[in-house]
Amino acid sequence: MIVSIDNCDIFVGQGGVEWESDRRTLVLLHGAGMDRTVWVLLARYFARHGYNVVTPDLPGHGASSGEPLTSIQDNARFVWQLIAHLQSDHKLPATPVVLGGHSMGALIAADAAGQQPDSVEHLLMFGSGYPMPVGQPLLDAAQANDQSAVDMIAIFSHCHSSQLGHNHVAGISVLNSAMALLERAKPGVLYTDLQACNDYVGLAEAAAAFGQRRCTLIVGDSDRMTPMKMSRGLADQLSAELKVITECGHMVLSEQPEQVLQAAKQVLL
Amino acid sequence: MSGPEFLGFDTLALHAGQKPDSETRARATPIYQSTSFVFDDSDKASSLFDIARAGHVYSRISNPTVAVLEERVAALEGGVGAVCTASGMAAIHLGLLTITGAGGHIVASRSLYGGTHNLLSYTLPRFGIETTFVDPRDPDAFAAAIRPETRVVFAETVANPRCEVLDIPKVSAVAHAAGVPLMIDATLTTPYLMPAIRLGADIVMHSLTKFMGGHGVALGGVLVDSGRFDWEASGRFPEISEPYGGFHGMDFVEEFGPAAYIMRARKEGLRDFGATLSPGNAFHLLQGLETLPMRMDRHVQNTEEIVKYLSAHEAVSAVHHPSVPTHPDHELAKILLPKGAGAVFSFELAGGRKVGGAFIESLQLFSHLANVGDAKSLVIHPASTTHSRMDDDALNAAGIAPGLVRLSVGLENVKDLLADLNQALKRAVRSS
Repeated sequence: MIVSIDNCDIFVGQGGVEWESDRRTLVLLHGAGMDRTVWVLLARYFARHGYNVVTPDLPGHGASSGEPLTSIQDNARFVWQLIAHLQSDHKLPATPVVLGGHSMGALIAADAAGQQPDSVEHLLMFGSGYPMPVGQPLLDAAQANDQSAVDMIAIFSHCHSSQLGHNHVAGISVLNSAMALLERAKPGVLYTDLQACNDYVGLAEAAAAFGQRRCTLIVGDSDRMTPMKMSRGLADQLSAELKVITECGHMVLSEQPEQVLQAAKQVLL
Repeated sequence: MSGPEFLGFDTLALHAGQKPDSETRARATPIYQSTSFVFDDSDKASSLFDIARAGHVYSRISNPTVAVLEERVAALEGGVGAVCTASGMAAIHLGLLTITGAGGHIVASRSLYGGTHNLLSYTLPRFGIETTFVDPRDPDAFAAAIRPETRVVFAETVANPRCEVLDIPKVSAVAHAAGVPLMIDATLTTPYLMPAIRLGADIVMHSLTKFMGGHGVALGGVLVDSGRFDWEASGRFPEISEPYGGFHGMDFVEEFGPAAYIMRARKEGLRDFGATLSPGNAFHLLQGLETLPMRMDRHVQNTEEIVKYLSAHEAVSAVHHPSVPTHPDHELAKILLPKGAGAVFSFELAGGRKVGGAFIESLQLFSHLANVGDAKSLVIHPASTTHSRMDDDALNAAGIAPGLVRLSVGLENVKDLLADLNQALKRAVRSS
């Protein structure tokens, strides 16, 4: 569905199932330069297992109009604005949500959890870490909207095994799919996102506000974008349970969808 | 090394899409000769049907051996995904029918493989799909032929027998300006000689039977999705960009983004048309694909020597290969096909139909048959075989000279091939 937030058309995926009043809500936020399609399998699964699934394209991303927001905190505020709108105007139950995200989306979810801790029943993060410094060559390439930015992310985000392939989804190349998705981002979107990740310093404040509420971080054992040291930094601040996916890089959702599903099921079902 | 680099083409040709078998640790891709696959539980079963989990259900839709080949070709082409089919023609059919239907229109190069020409000229019109044929060397002609109901522009990278080279960047720009995807038959060039997607193609298909498999032992086809075409923005493809009743109301663009086309081709096209590649054939094709780079280098090397030889022979009136400086696409081929313009080409014998027939019958190493892209060298004389019922005037009107001979140059020692051609040319000349 498309909803209007601050004069922007925001696309919201539902995992192919209409929302119902007696279900829990699972909000999933995509990473830098990407869109809701990264969630396709998880979204479709949990939409058929008791959840109202909400997978928005953040402003300026995917099928949403507008400009990308320039900070993690602004994105987090937008998420609450969107959820409030969906709850008031689109029959999304006004109950605490499971708030999840991948990479940049996980930072947004964490910050959002700090902004409204009582509105979050579980914080569920994938392939992320803190701090999330971005190398200057990547920032420069993204700022120039150069293809090398996509190439760098594609190579660093997939473990060696995933670059060779043997995908779980028949006939699909996870590496080339990620590249095609990143190449679709409008000029400036990837840079804005990466800069927001690089600049984010608000986790301690968010973690203090969120307290000891339930939190899980699911990461790949061979993640070179947000290596294990950063993942532990994120998990430690939020007292999160850390689940490690084997033979997997940063793109946990596409590289090891079955392992990720099993880990998510332990949390959500 | 200045920065991170992608795995090389040669490495992908050997490894992409496959890991040693998890149970047996077999290094080669096993042949999963099974029609169907056991569900772990009812939840997994329903999730597979809902496309909420990944896995195989039934080999008409997907099979582990075939999936390795699909992923390998997708990797070599730079596409988001691929679907294998029972033959190259099945790939063309699946590729076109995924985005066209009754009332739809195709703009196609008029220089096409005969089977494709038949499909577009006679078979698809019976289902309400029309095609306008245009000169492949004229991008403006493609533009002029596009109508509101046009769903795809179709052409071959290098056509046979006269080796017209498609200017993919220009033709794709024309197609994209009209919101139409460019579908390319890249059979004769393979991704090794020409990266069709990088040049602008949106959909690429191959007859894997030819150079990709390379050994003439297995039929197969493949359809590759670049993932770069914006189906939603085009506005011409509601069957992909809006809820589709034929698949549980699924909006393929909404769910799969860049992989919308190839997912629909599999989930609808293989399900309903059923032109599936067998795992046995996929295994044979994988063995050939492993050596594609080395084979194509040798194919091209042999071809260029033979082209030089024939160009200098007094019994030969013309050689149609882009490496010949007088070929109309010589300069374009240097840009788009820097590793060589392939190993299938034609030449004309000065003596016409009779000399052509005598030449064919005198060859000893070249096999006289209707195929191309084999490791072994092949030859055919259209005027005495595929087009034997046409008189000389009709042949000329079709662009086929009575003395035209098509070669598919193989991997033999080129000295032996030249010797065979030499003795056959002498005999052919004597026959006249």
